[in-house]
Amino acid sequence: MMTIIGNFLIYFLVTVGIVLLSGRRHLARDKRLATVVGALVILLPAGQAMPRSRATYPFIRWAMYSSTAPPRTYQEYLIRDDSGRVYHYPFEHIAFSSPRAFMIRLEQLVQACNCTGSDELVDDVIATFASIHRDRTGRTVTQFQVYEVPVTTGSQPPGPRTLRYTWRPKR
Amino acid sequence: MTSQGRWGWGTKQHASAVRLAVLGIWLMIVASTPYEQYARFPAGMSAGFGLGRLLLGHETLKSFFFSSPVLLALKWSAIVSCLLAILLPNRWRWLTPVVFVNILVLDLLTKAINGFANHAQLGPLFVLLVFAVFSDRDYLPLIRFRDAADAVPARDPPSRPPGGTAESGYASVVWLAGLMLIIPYTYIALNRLLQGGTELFLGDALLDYIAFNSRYYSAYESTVFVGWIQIPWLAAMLKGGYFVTTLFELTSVGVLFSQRFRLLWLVVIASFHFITLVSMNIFFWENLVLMAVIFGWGIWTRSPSPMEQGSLA
Repeated sequence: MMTIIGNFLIYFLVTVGIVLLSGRRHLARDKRLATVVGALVILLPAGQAMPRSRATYPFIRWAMYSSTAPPRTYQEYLIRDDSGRVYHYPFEHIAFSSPRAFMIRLEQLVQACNCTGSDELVDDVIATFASIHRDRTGRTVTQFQVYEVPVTTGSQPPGPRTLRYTWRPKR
Repeated sequence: MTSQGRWGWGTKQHASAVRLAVLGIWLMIVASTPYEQYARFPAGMSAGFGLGRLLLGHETLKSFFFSSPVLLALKWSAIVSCLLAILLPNRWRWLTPVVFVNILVLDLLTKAINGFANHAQLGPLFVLLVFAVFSDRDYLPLIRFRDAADAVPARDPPSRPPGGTAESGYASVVWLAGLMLIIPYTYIALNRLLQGGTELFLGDALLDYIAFNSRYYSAYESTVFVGWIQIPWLAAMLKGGYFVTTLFELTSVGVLFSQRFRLLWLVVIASFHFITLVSMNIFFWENLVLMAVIFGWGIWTRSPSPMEQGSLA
């Protein structure tokens, strides 16, 4: 709690400083502008100080690439279609601007089920991905697998994959 | 109006260009996102996210919003209202707040289903909020680019922000839009310094981020940096560039004061976004468009903008 309050104060002071430094003449003569900016000066640092964005969105924490310990593994979502070809599921079919969001959501669901298959929710989600893929490409997904892969640095090949989840269409 | 005036910061033309840019960005995002597909996902996948908890607090509301006809209606109403707001900026001013609410609802539904706070779209969301709140004639008496438009129609006289001039209304809106872009950059930099400290820049964290993001699936499919980060001098340059970028992010407020710093800031931050595209498959194209229009406007003119004159006074 003390960290949250301390962080809020730091970001609040910085925000007030930026606003006063750059916009005093705008704020001095306009109540509506001052009210809106006043609300933002509270809400933006509050969102930044909170550890989780889920509670405060759209006032969230801006913390990209701040940790000295980046993730050590990543997920691969490999599908096999009716032609027998195996490739990455094209998540851009689901979201044009942030396909990665759906990859992370699936990762969360697989982790939450703590199983390697036959979870009702995960199966339903993957079945929807498969159905959208068929609509977009005309190809039927016959297998969808989620792998966890250790990150290796530089030009070394990726580490050994660990199969985390397997989905096959119900007959 | 002289070309200097037209290209000055905080002018009518500048405010109109920023408004057009942010509406155009959202039109592109909404038109390209298959929102109607969200209805096909199981109900258990979605949960209220932030403000979206108010929208999806009840199961009935959740079923309503995640039904295909509602999602399609929201998508098409956003597209049509966005187009009309672009085409009829002066006549149908009430449309900008409508566009904002419509887009906010679509955005909250997206976040509810994927549970991911996409930072790339927050800048455009807050800039759109600015134009939604200040869409009336007090702030933007006339939204046009042409010189002939300087003559105000008698039927539709402009009012002025309390205590200000018509021109200062435009300047205030552009200032706030700019603020919505520079505050996140400042926060990111400050967070890096507070959380990561010098270890973040001296250690291999950046190289690990590059390795991680290059290997993670992306539509951009750039893996060129996976090999390059093994080259010592290139790795050192990347780390140095990372530190310099963080310093520029931290001092972003300078773009509101100095034209020279603004140009330098644009070069550094735009380069950073293009390098993250190639090295990490992450591209904030929305921010690039907005920063070009907000901070690149009239950068080639010599005289200080009205905002600079006011800020430095």
